[in-house]
Amino acid sequence: MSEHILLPEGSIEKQTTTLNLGPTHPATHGVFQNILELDGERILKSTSTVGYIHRAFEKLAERRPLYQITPLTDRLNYCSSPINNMGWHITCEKLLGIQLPKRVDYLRIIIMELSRISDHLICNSIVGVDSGAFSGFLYLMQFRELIYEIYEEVCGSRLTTNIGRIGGFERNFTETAFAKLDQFLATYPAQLKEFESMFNRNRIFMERTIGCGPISAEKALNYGFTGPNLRAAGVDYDVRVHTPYSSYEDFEFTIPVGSTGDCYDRFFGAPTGNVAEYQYHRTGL
Amino acid sequence: MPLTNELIQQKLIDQFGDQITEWTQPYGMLTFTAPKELNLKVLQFLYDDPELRFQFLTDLQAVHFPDRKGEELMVVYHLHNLTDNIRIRLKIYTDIATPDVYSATALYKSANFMERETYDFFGVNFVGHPNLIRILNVDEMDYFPLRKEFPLEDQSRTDKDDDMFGR
Amino acid sequence: MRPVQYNNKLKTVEPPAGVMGDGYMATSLEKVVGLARKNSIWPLPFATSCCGIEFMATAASHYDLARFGAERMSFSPRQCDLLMVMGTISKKMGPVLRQVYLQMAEPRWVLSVGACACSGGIFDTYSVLQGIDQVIPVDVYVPGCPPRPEAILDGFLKIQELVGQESLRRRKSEKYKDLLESYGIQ
Repeated sequence: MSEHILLPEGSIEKQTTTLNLGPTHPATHGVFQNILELDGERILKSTSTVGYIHRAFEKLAERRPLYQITPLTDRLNYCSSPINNMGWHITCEKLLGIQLPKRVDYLRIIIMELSRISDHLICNSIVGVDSGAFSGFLYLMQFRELIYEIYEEVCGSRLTTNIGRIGGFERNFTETAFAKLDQFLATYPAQLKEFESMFNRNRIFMERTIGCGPISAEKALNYGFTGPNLRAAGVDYDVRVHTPYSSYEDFEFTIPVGSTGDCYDRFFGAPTGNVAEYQYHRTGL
Repeated sequence: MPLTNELIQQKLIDQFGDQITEWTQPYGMLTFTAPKELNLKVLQFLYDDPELRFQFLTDLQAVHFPDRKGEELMVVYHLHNLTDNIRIRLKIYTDIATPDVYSATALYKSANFMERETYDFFGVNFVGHPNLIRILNVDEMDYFPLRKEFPLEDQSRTDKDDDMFGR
Repeated sequence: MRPVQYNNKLKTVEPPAGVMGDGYMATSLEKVVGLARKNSIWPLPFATSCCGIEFMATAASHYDLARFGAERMSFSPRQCDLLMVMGTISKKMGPVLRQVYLQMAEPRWVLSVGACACSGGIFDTYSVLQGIDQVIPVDVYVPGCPPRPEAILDGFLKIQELVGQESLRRRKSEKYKDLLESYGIQ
């Protein structure tokens, strides 16, 4: 534990400061402790302690029948719970050898893309809140409410949805669900543009996030990054394109890929790519 | 030549002979078993070989088989070749009395946390790991919870009504 | 010219019982202090998991929590009145929660949001604390998994009622001291 930490050249400090960014911190959103060695504002080394919400999903899942595990998967990534549900259902269908009709695949894609959007809405608006820009959060949470209403039409619940069953859905999507989906698609792109105009070229935001925590592509691959973080580091890998599940191969979409992997690139992660797909989904049905 | 499961199998057999056993392909994913002393050599070979290039460690976990005596704990590595989009699975068996397995942290940094988690839940001792302590459970815990003999529920609870829970 | 509109649908709250006169009102100190405190609670959102996201939805503009006086979310326990525990508390987190509770100054209230905080929820496992009332005293429990924002607001309103009616001597009374003793808090 007591390795000697070398201060970088040109530092005016004599020794590093140790700061405990404790388990309960507003920016960690949940609990994640970091003991930081700082040189002024730069973090030289951090020791993390995780496990403060360890809920023993694997052991619980050993004792439950397959359909009772779906509510457990909801709570794995609670910002976008339908994706976890669908992932579990697709796995079970592979095990059981069930073939699905195309309509189920397309409906699943709609729900998954909606939840992907809602997850990125939270992530991006919270980046704003953490750096002090609170209004973006209020604008985008309104759209999360619209997405919640669509979930309620389909499955009855807002956040931890337990959507779908192994082999399909529990009921067909109602006309109101489609009407709400159309209304969402009509109003969301404009609001996203407004949000982007507040953040993307905002000088304060750019100065705070560009160059903050960059990760090179080799390091990201070695550390096992996947998803938007890997794409922000410059690796153009997306599971939906390379190993398409649930009929993703029928649709065309663009994936944003960053270059330096710093916070600014990660912020650009996803909301932009998804909206175009939707229009295709609706016509797909 | 596009990389296929047969090609991977052939190259591994050429390099390691019959030390690698139990070749299966459940759902199209090539799976094989190696003796536990060879795990780093196999991983290094899969990483360095210019045709194989399995340079992404997707997952590292363990499974407890209480009925296989002498080989109760199985450490499983899921590797992924991103350019050719092929996944393979490597299994290492070790017995429960001396669960020592060489650590893959020098090769894959992602193995650091994953091996700590495997140690925390199953007690597999990774030799050469820089900081092998518990990661998800309380530090004072003295048993390894995911082994099959341990119960799920918290045993110190006194207010649960047994007939409501079907016991 | 746009026609003038008057908002007639105002609901005024009853003033506390007291003697009204010409430019003064005499009532008991407890009622005034309670009225002031309950409409300006500073909560500490101790959000660990899914209920934290529902809390974020409650604090957003659709189900605004700020209109009940909770505009300023304090993140430091030394400056807050209400500890809102939202989400699963595991055994590793228990001492941290207790420490945060101990750092709060009197008068303090605790709102336990969600099934996991109230009783462990669906996670009946070796690593989850089966209810935060094993480590700290709780005032209001909000059940649900996750509770709808309306339910969280309902819990908050119940806390407001408790705050408004609290006697000024409660925190020094024997009963309260015994309650804290039973949790091992001095």
